[in-house]
Amino acid sequence: MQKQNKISKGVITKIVMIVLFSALVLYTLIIIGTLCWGLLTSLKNYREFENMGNVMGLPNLNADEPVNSTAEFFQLANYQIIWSNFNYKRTEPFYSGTMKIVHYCDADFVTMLVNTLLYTVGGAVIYAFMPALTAYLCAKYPYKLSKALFVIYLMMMSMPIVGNYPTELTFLRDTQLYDNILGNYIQKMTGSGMYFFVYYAYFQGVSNTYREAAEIDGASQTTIMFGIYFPLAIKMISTVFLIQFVNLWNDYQTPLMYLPTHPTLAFGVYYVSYQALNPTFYHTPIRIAGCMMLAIPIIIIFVIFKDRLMGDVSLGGIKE
Amino acid sequence: MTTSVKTKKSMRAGSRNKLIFYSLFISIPVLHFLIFYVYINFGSILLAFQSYAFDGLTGYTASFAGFDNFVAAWTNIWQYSYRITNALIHLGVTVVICMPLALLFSFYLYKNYLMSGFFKVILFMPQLLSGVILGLLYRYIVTDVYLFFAKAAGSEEAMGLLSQPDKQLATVIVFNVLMSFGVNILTYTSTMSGINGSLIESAQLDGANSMQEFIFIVLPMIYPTIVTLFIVGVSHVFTNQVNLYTLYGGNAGSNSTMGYFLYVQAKDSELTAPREGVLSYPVLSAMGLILTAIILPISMGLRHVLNKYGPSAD
Amino acid sequence: MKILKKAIALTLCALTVGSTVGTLAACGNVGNPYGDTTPIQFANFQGGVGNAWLKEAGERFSKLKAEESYQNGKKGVTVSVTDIKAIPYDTITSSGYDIFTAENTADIYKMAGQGFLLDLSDIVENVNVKADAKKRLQAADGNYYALPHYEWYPGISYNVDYFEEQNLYFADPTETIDVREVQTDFGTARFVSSDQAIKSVGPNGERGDYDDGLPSSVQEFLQLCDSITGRKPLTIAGACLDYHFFFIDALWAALAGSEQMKTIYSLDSKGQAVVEAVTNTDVTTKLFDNVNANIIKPETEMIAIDETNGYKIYDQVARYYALATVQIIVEKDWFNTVSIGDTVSNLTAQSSFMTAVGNADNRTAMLWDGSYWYNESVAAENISFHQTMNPTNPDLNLSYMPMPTQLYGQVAEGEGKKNTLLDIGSAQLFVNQRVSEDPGLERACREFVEFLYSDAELAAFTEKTGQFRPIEYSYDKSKMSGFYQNMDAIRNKSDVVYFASDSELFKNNFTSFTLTWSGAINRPIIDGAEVAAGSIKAMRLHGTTKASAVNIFNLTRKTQSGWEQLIK
Repeated sequence: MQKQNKISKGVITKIVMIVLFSALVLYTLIIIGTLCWGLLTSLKNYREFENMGNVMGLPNLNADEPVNSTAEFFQLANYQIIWSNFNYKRTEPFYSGTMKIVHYCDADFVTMLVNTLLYTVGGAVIYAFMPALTAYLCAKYPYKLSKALFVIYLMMMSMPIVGNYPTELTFLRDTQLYDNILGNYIQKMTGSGMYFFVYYAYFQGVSNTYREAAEIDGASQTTIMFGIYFPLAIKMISTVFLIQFVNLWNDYQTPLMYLPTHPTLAFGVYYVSYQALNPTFYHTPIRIAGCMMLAIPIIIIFVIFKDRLMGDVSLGGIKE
Repeated sequence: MTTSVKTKKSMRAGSRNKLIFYSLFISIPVLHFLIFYVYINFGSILLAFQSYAFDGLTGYTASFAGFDNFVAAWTNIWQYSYRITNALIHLGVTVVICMPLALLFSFYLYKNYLMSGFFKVILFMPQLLSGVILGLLYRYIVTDVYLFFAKAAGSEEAMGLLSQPDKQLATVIVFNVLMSFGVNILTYTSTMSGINGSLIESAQLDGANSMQEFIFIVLPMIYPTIVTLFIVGVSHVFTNQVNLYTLYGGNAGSNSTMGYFLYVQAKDSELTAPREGVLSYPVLSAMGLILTAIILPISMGLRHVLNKYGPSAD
Repeated sequence: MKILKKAIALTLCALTVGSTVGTLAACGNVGNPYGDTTPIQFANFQGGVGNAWLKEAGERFSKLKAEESYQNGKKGVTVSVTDIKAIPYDTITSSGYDIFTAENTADIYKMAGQGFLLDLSDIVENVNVKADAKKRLQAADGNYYALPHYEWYPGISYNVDYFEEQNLYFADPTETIDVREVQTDFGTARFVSSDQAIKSVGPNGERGDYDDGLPSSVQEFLQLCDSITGRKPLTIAGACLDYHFFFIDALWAALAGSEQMKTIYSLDSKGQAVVEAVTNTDVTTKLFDNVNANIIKPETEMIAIDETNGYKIYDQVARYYALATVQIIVEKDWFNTVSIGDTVSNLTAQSSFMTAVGNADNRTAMLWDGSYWYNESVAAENISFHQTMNPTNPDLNLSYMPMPTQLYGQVAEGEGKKNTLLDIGSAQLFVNQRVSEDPGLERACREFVEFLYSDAELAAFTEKTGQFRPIEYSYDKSKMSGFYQNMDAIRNKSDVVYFASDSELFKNNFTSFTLTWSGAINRPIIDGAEVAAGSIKAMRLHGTTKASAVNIFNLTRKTQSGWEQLIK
């Protein structure tokens, strides 16, 4: 009977493993297949893709044939087209109170890269730092406000507020924080969010002995925070920074809504695929080359920092 | 005596310094909360009771609108209730398909089965590459690649999957399922790795197979995390855009969810409705308040029920 | 690995700091690329005529004026061309551009009233602009603030070679020998079966001209589509379903005729009941036997139009017939399966329409696109691609297709209707008022505009682009492509309706009358959501029960209450 149970347990475990393994393999094939198809298509001449109907095959590298992809494959011609032709122009008029303001944008690829770096790096620093700061203050300074803030942030996480875009946009326009990077940074300076709880659990776990010792040595609170506790948490902060960097790098809807004349690369990719009116971008292989251009930097960062990016981010400290 | 007085004085000075320091730094998130949460949401309430007129010379002028905006918003919600239906369908898919799959995959990774490290990377890919890239590639695949295979199979099919009325919803759902892993997997695996190893060992000694392990030990142990993520999902049912903007641009038509509709409308709208088919900001604010009033008690109630009656670690 | 990580982190920081500094530093003058010449900043609408004609004209003008001084210390002129799509109308004076061309959205009346535009009356008076087109150039003060750019017509083009190969021309009733009969869902189609066969007289009822053998009624058009086997009859770009109105407006105009069509802009039929307006769509009579039951034949009445009942301008039954035809096309699935893929661009659709490439032979009989499409194809090298792929047969014989002029049957000789072309956009050229702050620049701009509208340059424009201007001038047809030579023949025998009017109501509410992309008439609201891509998209997305022709027709009519707001 025990042997039967052992066999049965082993069989069930194997079945579970096989089923899950198969599902994961299928998922892998879908994701990798999608990316490979994208890469392959970005290396094809658009005539080959559209007129010759070569949707699934390898690029034709026979230079003797009238329609071939030698330039696209060996010289990355589609990527060059994106780099050199990309341009986004926009005029954004809006009212700040009763005053009409107009913003302009004439962005090429480099400008978008600059916007992206400002948006992602600056935004990720704020998103990583502010919750850490707030969590440290709440964890280490047990005033009533700290407890109140903890409860408020908890409620905010589970309390949905729907449809406050109109008010937020109106407020930003009235205060002229709309459509500028500084305004966007200010928008991001919240201490709330999932990572507040992650940091909170961490800082609660760090002993107060460090602070007491530092206070005895005459260190100021600022020195204690930035000189002792934050360095201890630097791994976590940098992990959150990386995660937020990746999120912001791929975010196009927020810039579209709040920074219309500061297009980022993610918006550029979206624009090339959906809205670009330059006939150069009317072709699928070229549009996909734009996608891949957005993907490549992030894949490089992932390859190098994957342990950090996929590190421990447990939701500690929120159990009621 | 003097030393004690000095110590008391320095302690008071120390407490004062702490308070000053604390006040200085806590003021930033508190101010942010007051402005971008309290003021904005209070502003939403106020905006919902106003109507605006536009004059080219003086800009916008506001007047009290009573409940007109709420009536307009409710009429719109009710008349086009398919948006709510779609939002609920996507929520159902999340609960019935995405969450169980994420839990099972996380369990697989937690148990370190074959190729776990590799699969962890693959499952994280959607989070890494995000909706823009994968969404655009997916769009071309369900159109160009799909039509290629359809034609090869002798079909006269002319519409990509995203355009076929009977297949659109399923196509959008499949995409969202593919995109739903990522951080959730990391969160579940991280929480699972916090389970006391001796519990698992003793269960195995008692003859538990892996499914029993999963159901009777792992799930109860990570139940608070599951509840948290579930409640977050429920509370965002009316803000979730389910990647429709990436797949359809501004024209998702009858695939729209409330979250998508609100985003597209807010992007194109003004204090006065710029054209027919676009609601004004006050009406959108009223709509937001109505939807908040619906979902808030539901998510709070659900949270209470799940925490009270769900499995416990004990 | 650690060093690499550090290096990447440092690079990221450096890039961010560098970007910030660079962005700040980039504010300011980066030098003068125009040397010691006077620059004219020309914002050219990035549309159907491209910019090659303008750049060449600019070079000719620069050569002509090389020794002329317009500004102190400068000699000569440089025309700097920037292609733009979204013209900043609200802020045109501070846009930095001196001269603009726009395809269909410029509200000259309004901009002139706002003081944004330079008075060009002296130039306009010396150019022989057609009377109707001139109305669009005029402001409330009676002066002229723009010049007409190119005409373009919505519609369908067809492959003449393909029609000849497949014998797709309709036979004349007198032709009884070389006839090919095909049973279709819309009756028996009688096509010619040889070159020598007598073709029908076509929509205009005149024998021996450009439209002989072409479908003269909606019924014949549907017979044509239904009889084409082995491939679909129509190509439309799936990513450009917002071109839906090209066919609708062309068919509407052809069925209605110019007199009826003009009322949508003039708002005045001069007391004559020339408009056949729909009065009741709640009927059961079907338009054709073998169609969906909701493709009905509505009840109509003849009405006169004036500003009091102007909301009925979109009630014309011809518009409904055009929408109904679109519904039939959608339900019969007559679009080229490859080109209607969601991601296929107009350029790809044009290429697949005309060029067979091995297994991907997607040629169709007809292309659904604006009359400027051929220019776009030239610029996109579609024509040269065709020649490369067909070295033994490089020539293409393509033509714009005049639309049917009646609903049923075949037009008899002498009983047809003159073709009506809708210059749907009435493109224009206008000058920024701000140039007047610099007398030298103003003079340079005026002289360049005069130059562009000289006889020689008007001819050069049409010969290069194949597009026509609503001006009396001559050009050498032999220098134009075959497609535009055919277009010229059609245009000379057509009434052209311009997007222009004397009506103050029209002038003050320009955007309410547009039939192009931004017009509400082209954006039905189905299920509470605006379908910006129009009727074909609506029908495919929502189905032809919810988004039927009659529903879309009713949803896009003007309302009395909306009209009353307009005339207030």
